[in-house]
Amino acid sequence: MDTDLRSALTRVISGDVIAIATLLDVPHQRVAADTDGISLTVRRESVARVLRNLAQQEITGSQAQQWASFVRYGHVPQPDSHEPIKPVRIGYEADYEGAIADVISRLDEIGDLIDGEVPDAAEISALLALLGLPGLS
Amino acid sequence: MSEINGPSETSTTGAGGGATDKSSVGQNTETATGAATKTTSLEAGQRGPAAPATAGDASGQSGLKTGTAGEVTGQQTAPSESAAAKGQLGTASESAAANRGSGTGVSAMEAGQRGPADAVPDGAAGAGGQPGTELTTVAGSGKDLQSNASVGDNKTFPQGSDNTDVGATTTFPDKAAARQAFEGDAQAAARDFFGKATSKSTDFQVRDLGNGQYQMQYFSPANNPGYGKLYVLRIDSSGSELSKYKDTMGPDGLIERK
Repeated sequence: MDTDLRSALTRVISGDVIAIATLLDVPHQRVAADTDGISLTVRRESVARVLRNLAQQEITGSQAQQWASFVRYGHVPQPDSHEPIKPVRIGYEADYEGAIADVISRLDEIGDLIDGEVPDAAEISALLALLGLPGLS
Repeated sequence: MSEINGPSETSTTGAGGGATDKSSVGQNTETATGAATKTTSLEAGQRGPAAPATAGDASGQSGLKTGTAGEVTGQQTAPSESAAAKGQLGTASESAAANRGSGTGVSAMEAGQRGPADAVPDGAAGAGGQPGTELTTVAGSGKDLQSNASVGDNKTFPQGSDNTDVGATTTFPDKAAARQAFEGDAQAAARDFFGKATSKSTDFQVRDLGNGQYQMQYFSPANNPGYGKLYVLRIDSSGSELSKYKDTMGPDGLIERK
């Protein structure tokens, strides 16, 4: 496996939103091939990291949405591709799977016409609570 | 197997097994009229979450596992209702264009398909059905064979020759059941897609599109009452994604497609 790619993917799965930029430069087929047979799991702490970074304005709502979309669908958007896509299978931490799904879905909605606003501090605290973690201080 | 996780603990996400053959969804016990049975999935009247269901009759077929299905239904909407849906949501060809490589006419109908029953006013796309009511009609007969499809029945709805958007729709009682929809590689896709539905999501469905292709979808109510989002994913028999989109629905029908 490409160590740089693996490193970037590890960072993304760990909630490093910026690391997605590396994946954008790589054909999805290569990402999928390099991750074949590897278990990828997003943990609640990773999601919380994204939420906190968003609250601290270290990342934008758009970046949070891009991250959420990637971990949800297993690939970055391929607008010019008409070939079937073999997504990277990314699971959610089993003990918090439902809460993680709710939070990631919410982040993936950012930019939508309905419910698309960037979560504010109060909502982020609520989302952290949903994950069973303390809210923003 | 290697693992890449977030910080701390370890967990495993299983990979899919071998590919399975695509086959029809089940045995039709009520509409066994062969080619005379036409099923369209205009679905305009298909509303509301499915009633909880027990396991259906296994048909011994690969591909879509019917044993966990809540309902296997086909829907046909009266032409006027279909026209209403088209008028509101754009033409079938327009929507088909939005779904690259997909069959024709699918999304135009589906765009008005979902949402809480009270989110779709009479006369709008999706009108014509009652919440929780699913209709099966034999083409040409006008006979309503089934209302509130009995839980657990497996039915096959042969494809009609004049509509590429045909096939049986299987409704699953919940997210957990939907995740077991397939076997093999396609199941990995179902597990992934449905597994990421929210706790509020409803209407977990799989539709056999033919040629080994399936469409999976679920509906997630929005925070704004009367609104919601329909998530749709089409896959081939290997579980590869053919297309996906998200329709934001409101009281007047489709608001946005992404």
